[in-house]
Amino acid sequence: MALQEYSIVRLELVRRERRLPLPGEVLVEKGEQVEPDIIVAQTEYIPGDPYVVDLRSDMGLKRFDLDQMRESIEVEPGQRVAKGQRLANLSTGLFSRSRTAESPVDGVVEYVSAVHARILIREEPQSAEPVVVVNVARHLDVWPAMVRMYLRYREGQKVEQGAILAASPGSGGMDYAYAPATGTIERVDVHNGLVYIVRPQQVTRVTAYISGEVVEIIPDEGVVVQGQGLVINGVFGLGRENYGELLILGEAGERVSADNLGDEVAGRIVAVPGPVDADVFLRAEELGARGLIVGGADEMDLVEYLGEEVVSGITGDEPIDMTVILTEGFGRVLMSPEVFEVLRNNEGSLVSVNGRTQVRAGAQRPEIVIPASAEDGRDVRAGVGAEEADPQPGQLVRIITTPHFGAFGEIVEVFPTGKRYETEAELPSVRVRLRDGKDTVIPIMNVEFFSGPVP
Amino acid sequence: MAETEGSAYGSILAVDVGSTMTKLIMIERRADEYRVSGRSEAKTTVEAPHEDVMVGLRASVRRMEDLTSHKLLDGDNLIIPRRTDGSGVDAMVATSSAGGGLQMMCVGLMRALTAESAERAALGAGAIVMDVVAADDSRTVVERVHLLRNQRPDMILVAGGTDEGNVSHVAAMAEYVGSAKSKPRLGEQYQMPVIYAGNTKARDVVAHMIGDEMDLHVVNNIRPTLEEEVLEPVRDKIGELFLDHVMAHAPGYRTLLDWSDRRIQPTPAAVGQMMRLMAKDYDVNVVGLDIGGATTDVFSVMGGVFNRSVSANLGMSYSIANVFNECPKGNIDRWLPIDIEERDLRNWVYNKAIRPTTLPITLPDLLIEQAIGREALRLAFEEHRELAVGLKGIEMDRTFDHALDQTPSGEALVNLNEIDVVIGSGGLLSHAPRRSQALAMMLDSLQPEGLVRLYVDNMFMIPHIGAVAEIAPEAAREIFLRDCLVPLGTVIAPGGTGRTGTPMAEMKMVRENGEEISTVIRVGDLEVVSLAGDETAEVQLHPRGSFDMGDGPGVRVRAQIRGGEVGLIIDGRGRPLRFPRNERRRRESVMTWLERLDAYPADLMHEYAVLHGEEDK
Repeated sequence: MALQEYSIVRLELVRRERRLPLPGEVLVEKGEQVEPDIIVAQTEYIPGDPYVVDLRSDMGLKRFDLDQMRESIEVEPGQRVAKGQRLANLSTGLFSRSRTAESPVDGVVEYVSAVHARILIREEPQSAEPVVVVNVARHLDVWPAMVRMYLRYREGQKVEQGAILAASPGSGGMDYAYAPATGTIERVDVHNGLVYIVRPQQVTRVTAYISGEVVEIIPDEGVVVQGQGLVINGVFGLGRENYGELLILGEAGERVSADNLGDEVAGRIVAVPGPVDADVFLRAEELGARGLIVGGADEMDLVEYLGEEVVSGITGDEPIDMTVILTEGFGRVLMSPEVFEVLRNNEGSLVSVNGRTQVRAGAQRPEIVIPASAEDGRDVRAGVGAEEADPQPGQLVRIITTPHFGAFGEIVEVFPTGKRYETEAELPSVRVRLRDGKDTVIPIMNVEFFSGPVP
Repeated sequence: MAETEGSAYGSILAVDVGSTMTKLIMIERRADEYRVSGRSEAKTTVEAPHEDVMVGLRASVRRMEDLTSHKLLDGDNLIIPRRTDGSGVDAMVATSSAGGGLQMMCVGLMRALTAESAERAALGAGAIVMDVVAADDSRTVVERVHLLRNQRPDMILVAGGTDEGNVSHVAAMAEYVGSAKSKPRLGEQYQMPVIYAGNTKARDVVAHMIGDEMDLHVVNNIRPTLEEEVLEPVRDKIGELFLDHVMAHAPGYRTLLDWSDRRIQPTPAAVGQMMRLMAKDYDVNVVGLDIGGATTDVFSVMGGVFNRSVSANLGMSYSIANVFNECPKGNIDRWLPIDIEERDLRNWVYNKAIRPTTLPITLPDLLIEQAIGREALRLAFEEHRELAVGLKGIEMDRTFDHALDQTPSGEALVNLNEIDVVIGSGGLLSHAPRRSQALAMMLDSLQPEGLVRLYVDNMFMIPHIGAVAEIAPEAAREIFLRDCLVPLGTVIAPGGTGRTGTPMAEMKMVRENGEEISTVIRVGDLEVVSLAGDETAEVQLHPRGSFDMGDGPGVRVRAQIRGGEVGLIIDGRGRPLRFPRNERRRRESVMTWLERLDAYPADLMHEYAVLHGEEDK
């Protein structure tokens, strides 16, 4: 049984790497104190387009020999090339005429095919030109003043890379001018026969995500932020990283419906200890809540909120603005008193949440990070039926299957050789005294037990 | 199989290194018969912190020593061969699926032709096929290169083109395989093994394109012509490379290679070996099911043709939500004799998916788990039937309409009325509290027709025995039927359907003691006749009208049958199985079926039925 141990609540030095997907600018300095909403790095870039270099056309070859083509190619996949750099060189004919092909952009060679005589280059976003000029008149071999006649796009229209920008009847059929990049037609120059395409610029920003200190700068890429925090792990989540002021809605056991939600949830992370109605999710997002932490929710309610089936394997990339975290599981289960107590004590704090969940391989659970000081000490770890740590009388457990799903209790007796259930299965078990004083016998595999101090 | 019958081995140690447990069995020959003299297990230690398979293996050998009082280790070394004082063993064999098993990528020209043959060969050799890349798939060439580079398989199998085909397409395919310069998952210092089993005329150009950064092995073309598929040379090469490259670089496996004298197989290959052995010995068609937490393997040997499929997203814990989402709405509920709200069912499924190790302890939970199990098996079996087909792309006389239809067709190999034996394995089936539950799940999900014998794997020993079959087939045969497989019984299920109560077939059964039972099987019947595993009986079946016992509509069948822990099951529910449309009547029908099979405690089931079905009464 290789079972993962994860925590319910733990105090720790939280360390998070904050990295840009592409090189950019780091906006903070080492030693600086940051809050979750501070932008620590950003990059502006034009998404690079792939360019296909047709060697046969560029080198003016009607046919070629495969071995000769292999030898003529001077670049290989992974290699960086500069605009104008020679990609292939072939000497042909009686006078060894040199035929070459050059790179149209700065970029990285992605694929080389001697069989098809093509080289694919991925343009580098950093050096991508914001404006691309296409000499349509030359491509179509027409007078510049006539260009507009053959154009398939007008100024202001969007064009995709590879689309036919203009076409005209040529000597051997149609001649085409293709759009080398995705963008918007900015201008048509009828004096020179040129078309200007402006490429969209994108900005990517990375926030600090947690409150803490910038302890490391990763040049051109990002930072490492570290801070003392109380980390609460849920069991299932949806949506990306988010942050906001923590707001508690309702009391333990109190049912919450959409009518209980008002403008105060906007921009906040809302925690509801009691059962929630299906309409709460959509309403909270509509009102601008950034996160919703609940004990449990019906899977059907989450499907309604998401607009699609819930995928249990890996979550976190759902197209939703509000992050959802279930601290106990599926079903309208109440939030455990341990978690609720920690959240209530920190109402008003700027907390960070991340819904990403991966049950297999690496076992990532959703998290709530609350800024804390070292004195806030509390550390409760849970393992699901972990084999190494034999259950002991006195240990606190949480039951994770029906009946008594979500109930907490204390082990009063251990049955290592097994107990027989109504299913007629005989399984190693424990007797648990629930908080209402009643006893229940439950298989070891169906409890999470805590190896840390009891809260 | 290397060894002749009447093996010289007096004792054999067989180990299966699984991803969680390293399971050991000891087989000894006593008084002219082979017996399992001990079983032990310890945690697998392939991954951190130990990163050495031998730590777990030695621990399980020591447990075996304690259990059998038979000295096996001399210090840290296995005593092999057996010494005159009786210590040690004569041979050791092993199977391994630790660390994700043997992982392969398959490449071919056409997805439905050579790429599919490559996939079949890899699966048959016991591999997990991470992906199949073909020239006619929807990926760009760069995506294919990235896939081959980033997946990091243990080896790549490249097929493509018949021997009469075009070389340039194969060259283009080899070019992107070569361009990927893939690195193997294990052993940074060695080159990625690439098996080329395509157009023989393209061998030189493929070698040229693959270059010297990968380790190319050339074998006979897997599809020399469209009409022919030759899998054995590829499977043998995969087995050889598995030992030379994968096992030799896995942590600690060098010692295991020494101990076992290089007799290590991928676990599914050993399971497939047993299925083939059984099919050959008894001249029967066999279907094997192995349902796990994340994946389900299905094996079949039909008319001597072996196939294996892996449904990577169908399982009973991590993948349980996939099973739920892949089957049509209502498909799970239809197996339940009690009313469960969809909301509760969904919550149950997702809670199991996020807490995969939990076990059902209430009857409704067990019923839900086994209902989902039926659908998981049904879906995996359907996937298997799609893979286990005759060759596609073979020239046939076609009408004009068919000529326009480009979909390649392959004839299904696994026909429901041709299955003779079904073997079930995996926690869901092997650990079901009552054997009749395992039988019901297999029967409902596969819905075999005619006469079928059902077994369940008793103690997850099939891989060990498959490994033993390599050196001592006689020992493997004996143990397989006596210690490993539990006979559940024989099912008589006429094919076809009709109105409830319509006579399907007349049946006459004569027991060994001469007792005769005559009955008419009617649509809707489900009866169990007690017949123990060691009992045989003679049955004569005369199907009426269009009902079919396997040899054709209305054709009489006479057979010698054996019983099992459940007995003889007369299944007149019809094929395909139909459910009453009325919800209450459906529940009542399912309740009756389960009661007849004595699958669950009857009183309790009725109590829950009242509790969960009140609103419909």
